[in-house]
Amino acid sequence: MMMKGKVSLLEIGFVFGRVASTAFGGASIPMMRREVVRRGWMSEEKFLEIYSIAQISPGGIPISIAVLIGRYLAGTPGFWVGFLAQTVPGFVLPMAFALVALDPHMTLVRAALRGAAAAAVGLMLANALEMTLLWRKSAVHLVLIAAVAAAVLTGHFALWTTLAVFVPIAIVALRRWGKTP
Amino acid sequence: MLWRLTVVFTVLSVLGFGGGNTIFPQMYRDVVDRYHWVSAAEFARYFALGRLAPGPGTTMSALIGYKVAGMVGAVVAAVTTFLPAALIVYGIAHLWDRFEEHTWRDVFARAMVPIVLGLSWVGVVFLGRGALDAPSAYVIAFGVAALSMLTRLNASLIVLLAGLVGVVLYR
Repeated sequence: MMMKGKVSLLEIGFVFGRVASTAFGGASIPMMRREVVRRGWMSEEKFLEIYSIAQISPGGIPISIAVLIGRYLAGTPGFWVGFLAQTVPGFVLPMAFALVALDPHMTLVRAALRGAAAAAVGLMLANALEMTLLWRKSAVHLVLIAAVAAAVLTGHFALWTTLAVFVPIAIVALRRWGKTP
Repeated sequence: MLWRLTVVFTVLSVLGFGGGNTIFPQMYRDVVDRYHWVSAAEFARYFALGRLAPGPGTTMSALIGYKVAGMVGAVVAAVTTFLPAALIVYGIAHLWDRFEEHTWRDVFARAMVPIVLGLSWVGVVFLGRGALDAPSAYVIAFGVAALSMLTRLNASLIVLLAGLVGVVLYR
């Protein structure tokens, strides 16, 4: 899935750098999709394929998508340009912002952050609920979701234990009873 | 200390299948419960900051690194969070091309769905420990959850609005 030479490294760096410095609140994935598909760099199907690789890979999904698109468009150099263009602004801007916001003398900002932290919990809750509702008709999914949550919350499973125990269980259970939503 | 930071974030990076939500519970365990690098409240605040700032959203580890060892810690935490995962993605993309017709990738992807969701619920609980410190915070959290499910408002706009509510309530 490589298509070397069609797009220059500079263009790749520019597009991903811009996305990384303007995508607020987890908007990077739809932004990247729009950029690369509208520019004719890749088809909608290709983007979806890259998105699914990113989902089964470790690490932040936006970064994975950026390096995979970079690799697709320009090989290994494209991979590195995608990586740097996402991570450098993604490090510098939030850090600069955070250092101002976390200054203990700024009581107003601290109060705002308390409100924002509660809101972040709300967003996570909505996200977990919406995604879980997609599978409300599949008992096996609901049981697995509850089992994973219980194992971590009450059984104090570490991440690696959770993956080692539940990936095989999920594979077997979904093969026997699994449906698609 | 830098060595410990490197180990913690590299392990999280390598095991974080399924995007950011998978690693929050383990990150909380390591940095709050085990090493006491940050408090539960700080953990929740850093998470909120990550939501407010632009970028790929793994800002939290850089902030935790900063708390532990200043700017060097921030860079170490960021690099160890981003780089190992990106290299694995590279390897996976290679395998993906090579095994175009194999079904293992769909099998694995489907198995990850309920696990990622289970871990997302745990993330809500852990984050809530630090953030929900007053009845009004519960009201904000449930209000935001309802807003985000029922409207198309941008997530960072919602967080920003909640920040304004916070200024009024907690000043």
